[in-house]
Amino acid sequence: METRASYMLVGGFVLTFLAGLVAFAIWLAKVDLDAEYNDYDIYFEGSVSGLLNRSIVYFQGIPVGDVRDISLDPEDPSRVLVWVRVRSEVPVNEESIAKLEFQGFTGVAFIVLYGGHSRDAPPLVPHPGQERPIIKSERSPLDEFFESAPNLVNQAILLTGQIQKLLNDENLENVSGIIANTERLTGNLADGTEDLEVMVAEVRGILAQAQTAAERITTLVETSNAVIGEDARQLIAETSKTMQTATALLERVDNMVAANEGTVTQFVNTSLPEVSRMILDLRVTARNLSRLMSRIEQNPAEVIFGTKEAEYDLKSRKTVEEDN
Amino acid sequence: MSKFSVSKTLKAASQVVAASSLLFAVGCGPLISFGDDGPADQIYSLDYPAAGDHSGAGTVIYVAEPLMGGGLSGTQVSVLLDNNQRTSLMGVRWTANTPDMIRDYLVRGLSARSGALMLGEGALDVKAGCRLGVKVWDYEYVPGDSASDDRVDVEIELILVRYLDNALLGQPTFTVSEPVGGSNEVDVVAGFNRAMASISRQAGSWIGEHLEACKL
Repeated sequence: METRASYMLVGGFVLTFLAGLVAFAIWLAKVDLDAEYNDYDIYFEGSVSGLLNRSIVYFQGIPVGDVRDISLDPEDPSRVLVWVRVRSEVPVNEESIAKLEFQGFTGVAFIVLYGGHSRDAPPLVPHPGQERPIIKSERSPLDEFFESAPNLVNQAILLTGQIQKLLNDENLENVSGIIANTERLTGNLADGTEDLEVMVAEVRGILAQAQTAAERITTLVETSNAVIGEDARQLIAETSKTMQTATALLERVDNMVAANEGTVTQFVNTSLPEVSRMILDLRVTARNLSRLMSRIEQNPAEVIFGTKEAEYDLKSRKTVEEDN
Repeated sequence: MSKFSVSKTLKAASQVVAASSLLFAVGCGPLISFGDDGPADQIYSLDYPAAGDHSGAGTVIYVAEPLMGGGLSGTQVSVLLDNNQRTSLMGVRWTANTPDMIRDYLVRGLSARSGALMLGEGALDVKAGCRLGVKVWDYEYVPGDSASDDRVDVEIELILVRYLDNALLGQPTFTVSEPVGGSNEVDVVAGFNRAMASISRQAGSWIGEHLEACKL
């Protein structure tokens, strides 16, 4: 008997199966058919190793897009042009910045968008001559770390060399000596504490002797005070008497000066200069008298009768002898 | 002896002494010179400048009596010949001793030109701020080979001392050599006057610089 197939039923089943297969594929691919995307360009300075097509773009930790294409900047090969697609509801504007991050040290790279929270910031639009808007980028800390790594390594090598010099055998011996000395010192200190009680006892004895000495000094001072007090009273009495006498004398002098103030002032103002000049004149006079006496002693007749001397005659312009 | 006889004896003794003195004087006539019989000396004085009135200036300086160099003192006009030979001008005398004349001239001349009140001999008891000592090194007539070469040399050193602390404020020496310009004693005296006027100008200017230091 020939089987009679129901074409309608088979056709319906096949169609339902294909529709289910497509729905399953869509579900499996997590294709968001309702989502709308905006395309942007990002220029990265240097390498973007680890970044691939379809690498995820995150915003606030949420995957909001993916990398569509990676190529070199045709104008500057040192830069890498990354074309990304980001969901339209993500706020991307002039303040938005893209940064390349790495997932651990596995090398898997992704792009993180941040910033752009300000509502006043203008929306990102393509500038003239640009195919897509460009999101600004910055280098990741890890990237900077790797870039400066060679310097760090050099510094580490240098530091290692210095440490090796510091920890040479001689220094190690010295350190060992220091440690040994420290150990000996602490040992001595520990032993010294055993004598502490003896030392405290000696100090107590010294303090007791000092107290006794202080008591004796006090007694001596009191005795001295008593002795000095008697003599001092006598001395003070004599001093007082002397001072009274001196005071009386000064009063007398003061009264005398006051009574003769005018005379004293006149003497100081007028007579003193006169005396001073008189002394000068007396000095000159004394010198002249001395000279005269010398002449008298040498030749008295010359003083009395004069000397024979020549005179100059203006008319004849000659000297003329003359007898005096 | 009565009082009458004593006085009579004293009177007789005094008459004897007087007579003896007269006889001694007459007897010694040839020995003691009483002046020659020639013509009288011509007596000259310096032409003192007019004094300035600085009694209220506040600076008073006492001018001490000048100390004269050798042979410069006296009333004779000193003459300096060649080889440092000194003599005096015949028939010419100053009216006063040269120290007194120079001092009087400086008192007047410096007072007129310096602005200070200069005191001389007549103001011995006036309080002064400074003392001006004067040393005269040259004050003489120097005859040359001819009358046109004759000159008068004056060199005076001044010593200014402050009375307050006996500080020496200065000790300059002023020197002038003035041509006589004639052959008689009047020209010589005129030369001395011009020389002293020049010294007075220089010294007056120098004293003027020390007025503050000598203020009372």
